[in-house]
Order: sequence, then C-alpha cells, then structure tokens
Amino acid sequence: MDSDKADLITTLHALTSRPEASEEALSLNHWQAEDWSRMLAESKPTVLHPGEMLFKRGDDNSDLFFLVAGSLEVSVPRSATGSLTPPVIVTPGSVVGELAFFDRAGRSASVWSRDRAVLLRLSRFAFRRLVDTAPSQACDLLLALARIIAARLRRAHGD
Amino acid sequence: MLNLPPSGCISHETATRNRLRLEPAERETNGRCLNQHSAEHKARGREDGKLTLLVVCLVVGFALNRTGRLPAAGAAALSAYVINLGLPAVAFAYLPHLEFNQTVLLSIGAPWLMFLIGAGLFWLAGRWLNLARETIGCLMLVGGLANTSMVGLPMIEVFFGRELLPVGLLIDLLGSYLILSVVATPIACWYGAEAPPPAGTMVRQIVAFLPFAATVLALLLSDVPYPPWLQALFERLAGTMAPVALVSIGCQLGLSGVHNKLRPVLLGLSYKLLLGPAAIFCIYFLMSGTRDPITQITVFEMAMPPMIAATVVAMEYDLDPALATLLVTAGIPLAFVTLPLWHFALVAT
Repeated sequence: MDSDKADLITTLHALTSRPEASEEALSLNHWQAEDWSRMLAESKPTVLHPGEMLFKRGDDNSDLFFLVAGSLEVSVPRSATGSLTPPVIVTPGSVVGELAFFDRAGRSASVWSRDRAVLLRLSRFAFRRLVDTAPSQACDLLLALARIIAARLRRAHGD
Repeated sequence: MLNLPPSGCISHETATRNRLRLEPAERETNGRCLNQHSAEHKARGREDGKLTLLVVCLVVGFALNRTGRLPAAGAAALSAYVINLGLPAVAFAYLPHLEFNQTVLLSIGAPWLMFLIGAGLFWLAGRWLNLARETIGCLMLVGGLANTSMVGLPMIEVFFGRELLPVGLLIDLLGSYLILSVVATPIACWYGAEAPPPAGTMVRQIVAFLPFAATVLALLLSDVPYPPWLQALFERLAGTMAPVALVSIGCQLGLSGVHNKLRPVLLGLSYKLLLGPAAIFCIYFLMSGTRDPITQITVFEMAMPPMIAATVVAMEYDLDPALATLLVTAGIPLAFVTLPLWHFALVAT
C-alpha cells in the first residue's frame, strides 16, 4: 500500500473515531487502524477539483466513496418535472454512492465537490473479498452504512 | 377573440364582450381603465396583496423544505402539479381569448433571439476568458434560457394581471420550452461530447408535454365556446398555478457553496438578468416604439431567472453541474430584486 493511501486511511480512521462525529459519519469508532487498512486495501484514492462531478443521477456505476477531505454537494435533478433539490452537503468521514452500492440500480442523485475533495473508492468486488476474508468487519460496515441511510431517510422525512 | 388595447388595460365591457370574465381582482387591478380614484386605490391594495402572496409562497416553500415538513420529492410533486394541471388550465382558460397578431408572434421570437445572442456572447466570452468547454455549454443553456413558466407566469399575474397570462404561456411553450427541447439538447450533447437523442424521441417528448398539447388544443378550440361551468373550472384551476409554482420554487432554493465559480456566475447572471433583457428591451421597445403591454410582458419574461429545466439538462450532460446549480439558486433570489426594477423601467418608459 502506498504511503499516500495509508495517510488517507489514517485520516479517515481519525475522523470516524471522534466523539463529535456527525450522525452521517461512519459509526466504526471501535475499529482499529488495521481494520481500516484491511477494508480499504483495494480502494483507490480519487481527487476532485472544486465543482468537479463525481457522478450524476442515472450513472450505472456502483462503487462506494468514502470522503476523507473536502466536502461534496448532492442534488437530485428530475427531468420529468424540471425540478432540482437544493444541494445537501456531505462532510468528511461520511460516504456517498451507498444506494447504488446496494441495489446497482443507477445513481439516485448527482454529486460534485464544493472544494478540493479527496475520496477513497471501494468497488463491490473489493467488498465481496472483504466478506470472504473478514465477514464480521463486512457486517460492521453494512450496519454503519445502514445507519447512514437511516439518518438520511429520517432527514428527508423531516424527523 | 380578445384584442388588447395599446394602453395595456382591458375594460370590463371589452372583457365581457370577449367571453373573458374578469374576477374582482382583475377588475381592480385594471382600475386605471375605470378612471376612478377609489378603484385605483383598491387596485393597488390588490396588487400589494398579490405581491404579499408571492413573497409568502416563496418563504413557505423554502421553510417547508428547510424544516423537512415536505417529503424529499415534494418540489418535484408540486412542479408536476403545475406542469400537468396548472399550465394546461391556464391554456384552456385564457388562450382562446388571445388574438394572434404580429406583436404576439414577435413575443414568441424573443426567447429565441435572447438565446441566440447569449450563445454568441458566451462563446466569445469563453474564448476570451479561456473557460472550459463544459462551462461555455452550461452558460449557453442556463444563462440563455429564462424561467418563463414556474417563475415567469406567477410574476406576470402579480405585476400585469391574470388576463395577460396567455402571452406568457406562448412565450414559454413556443419559445423557452421549444428551445430547450429542440436546440438546447443538441447543444448540450455537443458541449458534453455525447450523442444526441434521435429526432423522433425529441418530437415525442415535445408532443407528450401536457402544457404543450393543451396549448395546441386550446388554440384549435378557440372558436368553440365553453359551457360556463367548464370555463369556471379552468379559471379556478388556473388560479392555483401561481401559488403552487411559487411554493415549488421556494422548495428548490438553497445556495450552492462552490466558491471558484464567481466569474462564470457573474457572467451568466449579468446576461440573464440584465444584459439579455436589455438587448430585447432595445430591440423590441425602443427601436419599434411599441408601448403595448404584450411587449412589456415580453421583456419582463426575458428578465426571469435561469430555467431550472435547463439546469437539469446541463447536469444530465455533465456541463459544469456546480455552475448550473449556482446560476439557478443564486439567480432566482436575485431576480426578485431585479424584476420589480424591470417592471418599473417598463412601465415608466
């Protein structure tokens, strides 16, 4: 593993271990550094310039993105009604792309960077390997993702 | 057929003769024609009431979205109501009373002209400022197309009165909407380096767009008198269009925080809110010497903020989505400052 990626994984670990982490941050604060390294061993760093698109609604990619630095904006454009939801901000320690990661039904929203953003990209294939090699960790990740989805659903419903 | 007089006012007698039933609000909004001080005073009160309605609807929409009281797809649902019910009702209620004359045809040409001038200007500015290809495409689409329906029609109703809505509807459907469907999509494909959809798909989309179909049908049926209950139904439904459209717009407000787009945002909004309508103002208003309300509405429609649907198309084709969102989310609140100024300029000249 190159040192840059190792640094990013260390940063992500630190972000999710903070007690003041937001409810949309991955709740894996019981994980050690080596757990993060194992899960993200096959991940690929991605850097976005301000305003650069990560993916758009309808794209058929299903990778999961862990936001390490910077911030992202998420919006849902609907061509049938010519409407657009106001941009929602995603902060470091959280993820984007979790719905398509689960259902592979295309991206449900468009995501771009607000400033210079650094992400780690995990493919479904890499996750399947994690399920085989470290099933309890894979289960932890699934629960953490489910918690983020629940938080986003609650916010969408106004709870 | 309703032939609007050059003064921009419709007398009650004329309106009745032309099957256009003016509600008390319209009668009072057109108080100047009655030439009675008290009527004028009441008219001002009604206008203030409509302006209040406009502000309240926007704030309510914004608050509903911010507090999470509206479901995530709430804005889309409200937009769907306006598109599928509100706009067709406006078409059936008011379009048959409009006379198709040269002024109306020139009004329909205004969005095409403004889009064309904007495309040229943004192309030149893009080369001069060394803007990215996607940014130029985004500016052409979002900076060149006005929100002539969801914002434009409620604003016409507030500032000029409901009886002039059909002019706005024609500008929107035969202007902005046709440009978006026929011209903007191929431009988006060109700047987004994607293959354009087949022509048949585009034609099907246009025909299937309910307000467009309703407009064509309303024009075809313009000589067929509706039974009073049907006219009343259309007018009632048309009356819901403005508040629902404004709440929907309020739901979609929320400023994007991308900071490195200041230059193209300034460029796009300067053209959309000031330079573009000023160009149309010069061409239509000053050069022709026309002072009729249809020309006033034409310039007013061109001063509307960027079209949200154009932003959606820009996003679909990867044309600088952050800029597209900024243009629309900054442009709509800004327009509520510039539009009253435009109204003042149009009425005062």
